[in-house]
Amino acid sequence: MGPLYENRVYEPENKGYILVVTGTYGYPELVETMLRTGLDNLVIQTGRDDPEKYRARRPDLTIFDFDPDIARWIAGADLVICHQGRTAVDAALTYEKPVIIVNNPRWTRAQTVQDTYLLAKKIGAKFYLHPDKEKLLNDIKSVDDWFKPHRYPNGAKNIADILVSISF
Amino acid sequence: MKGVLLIASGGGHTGHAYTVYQFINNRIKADFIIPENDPFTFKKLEGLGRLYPVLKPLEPKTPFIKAIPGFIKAFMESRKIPFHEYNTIVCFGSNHCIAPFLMAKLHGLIGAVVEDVMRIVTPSRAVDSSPMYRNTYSSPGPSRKRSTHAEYTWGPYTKTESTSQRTKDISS
Repeated sequence: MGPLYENRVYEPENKGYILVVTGTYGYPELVETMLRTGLDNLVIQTGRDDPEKYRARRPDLTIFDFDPDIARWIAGADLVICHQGRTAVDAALTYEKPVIIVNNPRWTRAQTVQDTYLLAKKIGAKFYLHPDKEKLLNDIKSVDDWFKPHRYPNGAKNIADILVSISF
Repeated sequence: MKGVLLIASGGGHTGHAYTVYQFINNRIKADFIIPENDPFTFKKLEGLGRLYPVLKPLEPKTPFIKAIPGFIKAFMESRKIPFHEYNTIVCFGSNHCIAPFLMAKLHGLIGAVVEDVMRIVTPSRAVDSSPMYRNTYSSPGPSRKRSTHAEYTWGPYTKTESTSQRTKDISS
């Protein structure tokens, strides 16, 4: 069947920024770690974690809670750093971006660490158990050495075809 | 020809529903069941089809016991959905699916379950413990067990091997 990932709506480009995505509920520890890197090319999505407190500290960065068109940001990113979630799959498979998945331990009812680790392997992403500033800086610097796009047939197309066929 | 109801349960679940919607590509009518009070899902899907709000009883931090009134409310809200306009209902692995899915099955819709793409060694609790999924998840593809069960199930995880065995395989 293949993994489900979004259909491409933008052409991928490298616009020079690193996209940090923390999902619906946010991941303050990851945002804090990214701010501590001192990088000035971050675009950060914070979810329900109020973005104002981060904007006050770093007005030079693009920080927002949610954008229904997150695909636009993914398509333009040089690298995507996110928690275990759909963005990792869409970034890696739809837009063929290098991805670092940082495990969010607050998601006790979500997929396990093993699930996330295996998924990271399948999509060619880096996997971190916790946010780690030094490791992140190293992997950001050496992205061209470790990144290789992974490609799979899209399971969503197959599912959609079956749904259409059983509706007639 | 009737349409398909996609249950977009917020966050990644909404992403899954949106992804399948993209590939349905107007070939059939497709509408969404969304969580109440989820502006992110609303903004993502606004304008794509009809949106039916139904309460999501169990948020990540909600104790199960506190979710019981929520499940009752979700069933009441699900009764308002015009299921007769649809042929199929698709859920994407959240507790939010349980009430509308069972109501849809009672109205005779075909049920499909798509597990989270990230669930490789463990199923989501909603998929693993809900009566409508039981005994069907081990056999991907068409199956018909009981009227409340899904006819189609898709996902990376299957019960053909036990979780502990798979976990052992990974760690070795």
